[in-house]
Amino acid sequence: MKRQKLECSLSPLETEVLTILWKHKRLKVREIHDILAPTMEVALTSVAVILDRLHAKGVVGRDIEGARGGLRYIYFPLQNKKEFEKTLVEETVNKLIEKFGTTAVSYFNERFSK
Amino acid sequence: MALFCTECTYQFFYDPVKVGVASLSLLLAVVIIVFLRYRQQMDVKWKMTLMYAHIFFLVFPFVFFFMFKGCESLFATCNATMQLIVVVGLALAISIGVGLIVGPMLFVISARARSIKATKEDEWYLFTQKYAGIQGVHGDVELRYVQEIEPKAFSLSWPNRIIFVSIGLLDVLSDKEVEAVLLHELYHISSRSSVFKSVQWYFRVTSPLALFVTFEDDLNCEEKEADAFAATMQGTTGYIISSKEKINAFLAENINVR
Repeated sequence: MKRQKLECSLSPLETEVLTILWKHKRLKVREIHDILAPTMEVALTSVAVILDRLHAKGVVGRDIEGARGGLRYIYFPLQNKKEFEKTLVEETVNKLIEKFGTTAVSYFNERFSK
Repeated sequence: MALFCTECTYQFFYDPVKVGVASLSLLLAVVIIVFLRYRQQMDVKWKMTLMYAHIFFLVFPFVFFFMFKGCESLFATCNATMQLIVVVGLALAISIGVGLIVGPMLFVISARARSIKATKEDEWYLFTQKYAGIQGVHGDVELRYVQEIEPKAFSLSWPNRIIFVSIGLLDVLSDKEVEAVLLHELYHISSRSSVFKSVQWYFRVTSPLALFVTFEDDLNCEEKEADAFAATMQGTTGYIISSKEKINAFLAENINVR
């Protein structure tokens, strides 16, 4: 049920990547790919693109860290899982109210009074 | 104020000598375009020289026209010799000065602002210096990391020798693939191909007649030579090929996503 809540606004791969980041906190692109690879056929470039999308959406942040050679991006979630779900629910409810007005508000009143 | 003098305009266009000089200059610009289009086999250095000459002859009539009256307001006595020196100098400054000096310097400043310089202990910097020496590139070759997610690499040989590599490229390529990319860029530095690329970019931006000329063969040939150099140094074409495949895959996925 919780995974379904995430998937309604994130793609399956985005959900997987975000779940990994919630568990490990800070990871590089290659590290996330290494975790995903045994269970899912995904290219390293796909993981990089997904992380860039999540960064653009404001779901993950990234820092630059020195590595053995050169620099690498380190990704980290900007919210923990509970905070992210709460944000998602708030945005969804606000959008419903914005679109359906009193109909949505009446429904919520009925739903939560039961 | 002289630039918008209506009387000056009439004086210019009713003077057969001035119109003749301006027309001759434009004609030479067109002749150079024809030459560039149909003499594709000439040396790259000659092509660069002709591109600059074309820009000069294209710009000259306009500078000549605007300075026609302006010269007299700039100098106490504006004789024909002084006018010629000023006009030619200004046309040269626009055609060569901007294209050869100002443009590349501005590009370097912009690229440096978006990137982080590799330290002297950085492994990729040390790799670059080692192979720069092998390739006969003397002196320091700066390595800089561009703060972008898109995997890319490019190099400059003028006014400074710099290789730029994006952090995104280091994220998605293996060590051997990164080596292949650095070797590829080192070849460009040793052959000073960035100079030709910046000249032909300036040529296209400045001249509408540039549409009739293409340098695709020269650029493709240079790319193949750079790939061949990387493959020779690594003893295999595998890494340079796979690095390009990964870069293209990222770009293709990113386009689909956006």
